[in-house]
Amino acid sequence: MRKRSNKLIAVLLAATIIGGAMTGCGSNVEPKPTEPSSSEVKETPGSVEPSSSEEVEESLDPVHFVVWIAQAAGSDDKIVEKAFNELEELKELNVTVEFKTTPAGDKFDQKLDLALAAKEDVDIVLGDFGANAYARMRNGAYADISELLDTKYTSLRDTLLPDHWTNVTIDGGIYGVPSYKESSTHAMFLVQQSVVDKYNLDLSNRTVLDLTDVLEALKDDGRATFMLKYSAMSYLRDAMAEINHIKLNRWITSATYEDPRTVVNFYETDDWKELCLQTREWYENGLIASDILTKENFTAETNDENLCGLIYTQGDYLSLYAQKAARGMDLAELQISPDNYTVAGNNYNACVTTTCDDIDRAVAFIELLFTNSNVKNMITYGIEGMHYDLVNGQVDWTNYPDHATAWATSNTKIGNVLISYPPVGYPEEGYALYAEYAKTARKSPTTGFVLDTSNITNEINAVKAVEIEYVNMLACGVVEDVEATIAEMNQKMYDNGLQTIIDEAQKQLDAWWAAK
Amino acid sequence: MMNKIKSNQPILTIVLGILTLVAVLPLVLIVIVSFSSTESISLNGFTFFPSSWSLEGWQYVSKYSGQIVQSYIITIYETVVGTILMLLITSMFAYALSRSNWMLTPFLSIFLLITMLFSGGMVSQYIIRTNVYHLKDNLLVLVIPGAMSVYNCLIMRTFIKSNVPESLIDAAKMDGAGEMYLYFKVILPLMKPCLAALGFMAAVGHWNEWQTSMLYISDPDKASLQLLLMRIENSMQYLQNNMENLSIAEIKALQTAPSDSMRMAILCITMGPILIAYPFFQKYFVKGITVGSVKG
Repeated sequence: MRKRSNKLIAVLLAATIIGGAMTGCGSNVEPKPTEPSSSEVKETPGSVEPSSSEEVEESLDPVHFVVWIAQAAGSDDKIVEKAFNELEELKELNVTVEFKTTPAGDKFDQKLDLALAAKEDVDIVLGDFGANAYARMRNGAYADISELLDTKYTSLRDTLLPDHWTNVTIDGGIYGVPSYKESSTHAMFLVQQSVVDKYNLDLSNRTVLDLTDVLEALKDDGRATFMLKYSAMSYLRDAMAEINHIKLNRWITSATYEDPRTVVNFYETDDWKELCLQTREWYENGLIASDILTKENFTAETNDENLCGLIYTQGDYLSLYAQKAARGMDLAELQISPDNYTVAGNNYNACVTTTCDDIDRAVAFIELLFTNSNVKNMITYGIEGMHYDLVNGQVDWTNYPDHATAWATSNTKIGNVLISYPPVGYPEEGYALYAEYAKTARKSPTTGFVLDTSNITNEINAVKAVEIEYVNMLACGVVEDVEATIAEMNQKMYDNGLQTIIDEAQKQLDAWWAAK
Repeated sequence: MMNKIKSNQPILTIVLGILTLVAVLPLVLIVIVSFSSTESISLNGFTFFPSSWSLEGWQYVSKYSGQIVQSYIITIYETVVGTILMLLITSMFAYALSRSNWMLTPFLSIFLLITMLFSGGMVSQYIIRTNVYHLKDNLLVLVIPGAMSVYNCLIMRTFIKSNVPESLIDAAKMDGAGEMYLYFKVILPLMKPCLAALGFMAAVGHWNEWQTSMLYISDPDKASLQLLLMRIENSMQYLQNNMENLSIAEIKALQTAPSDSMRMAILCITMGPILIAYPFFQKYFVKGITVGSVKG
């Protein structure tokens, strides 16, 4: 009896292990999908822009790309992938793709770096962003496509504004194609139109320092003032700094529009002191929430028309319309920093890896994302009728609540936003207003300068810790002796290596200006 | 002596009661917050007595119920198979190492120590698992790498040496028992407290594990529970931090998302099974804590 039970346990154990292993497992050495032979490819007139399609040779060998998409929100990967591969534009290029989406919140950089180190199939990376993207560009993970852009894919090169290319140009080479989205932005609050009318407020020509009358009106009306919790109060710092300063990595290394060749620490300037003194005065007068240090969020106030105070928003065209439409309230715009033309928002790059077998065709594929609306819309929104409806040329998710986000990733991160469908709620002119809006913006003289922090990582982390300790505290006005605290903050930052950071930034900025 | 203990009893009871409350109250708070309304959390913060109750946190999480069930299955598979495999393979190795008269014992002991002290690093680990063993997107990756634990092996070896008399093994051998028979019939039953303690710790480790799943599993249907819940939480965090890139629908979704109560509901989902299992393993766990302290 005992023997039999032991045998039974052994069999169960083995079955569990084998069963577990069989549950959806399989070698990752998946055969690449059968690719149609070049003779099978239909020569269908597609909507690829003439300048590039003319140059695409008539009979192309089939090629299969593994496309990584950063911070992708969508589901139904395989369904969209299949539909995507059925697009005439891709067939014309004789390209098939396999999407590898990385959900928002996953450690995309770590996953991608490991995959690249292991020589996994990674041909194209969409939406690569930030310092890690530049590190990959510098260390040879991505191919230099400047020659292809100049000679063959001129349509792609000309689609973007010249300044957009500066961020991805390293030592003369171009290592990515930045997504084309709006390029100017400013700090802004939205305030109830009823408050503006009731108190006869003039919201024009304001800065972050000129808000006292607005705050008093809000308080008098029984509303919240700044709807920024403690950890978000640095928004006021940003709004103030953007008036005269240009951020070079962090505000501790900034330049000014007056003198863009000299690196300064923003926290030692009169601008910072002035803001801190102003917020202190507001705090003392009850114009900043007295429980700012402990308040978890302003959700209740934000959703109540009678309590709603200043809603902060980054004042670019997209998010402004999105915010206003989403709130469902009559909101007036209160701009608190100048329009700054920036390419910061264009830092989502489409890159081709150096291990890609056909870099030429990969660039041709990327060109489609910037010039062909069918391709761009499908990778952004998924399949019409399955993931969204098209109502008067605008994307409507009403019938698809589970897909109420873009299929792959936010519209602004892949390809050319200007050729995509705008979501319902945007003005009829769609994205055409972008260009006009950007024309008024002030252009940063240091556009294209990217600080290489690899030699000063430790110092930056140490100084960052001091910044975190003091900035919000000073920006929300809870500190009694403002000047002494600012001095203490700066001294601590110097004790932790600020001078080394400034010197290194200055050295790099000098070299950049010299090469310009 | 007895009188002394009895006279201290009330003080001990009070002290232990306070310690118990310190441990239990945060858990109770988590459950209460998960049922609190967003308005209540916004106005009063986290409190044991919310001004209004709501199921919105649980409703939000329940939108992912299909995925959560699937992920539960994956996590249970990882926990059960991973723990059993670890116990089986590690204890076999430990038994072999406990035989001081075996000629490979010194070599294998040093070999083990080297692997414990020096790691090849994440990149080499990744390359071996994906390129050599082809474990990418394969559920075996969740259980195979942890199947041999050096630390646990050393504990088990010490346990066998100090708790299983040589004479018992000799007697079994004299009765004709082979090594496998000896291991399964004599050694394993005697190792029960040690296996239960280490098994419980390994099970908790597997239950909470998400890093391996994140790095090696890309198929959403194979995501472990922890990874799925981390993604739900992080995607909301990510969207909140990137408002300027959001569409109207995304902003609306964020506005209505009960972020704090949802977080707590997620915590309840992940903690539940471990909280239920813990009392059953507690007696072994206490024994297990002292296992490694016995000198062999």
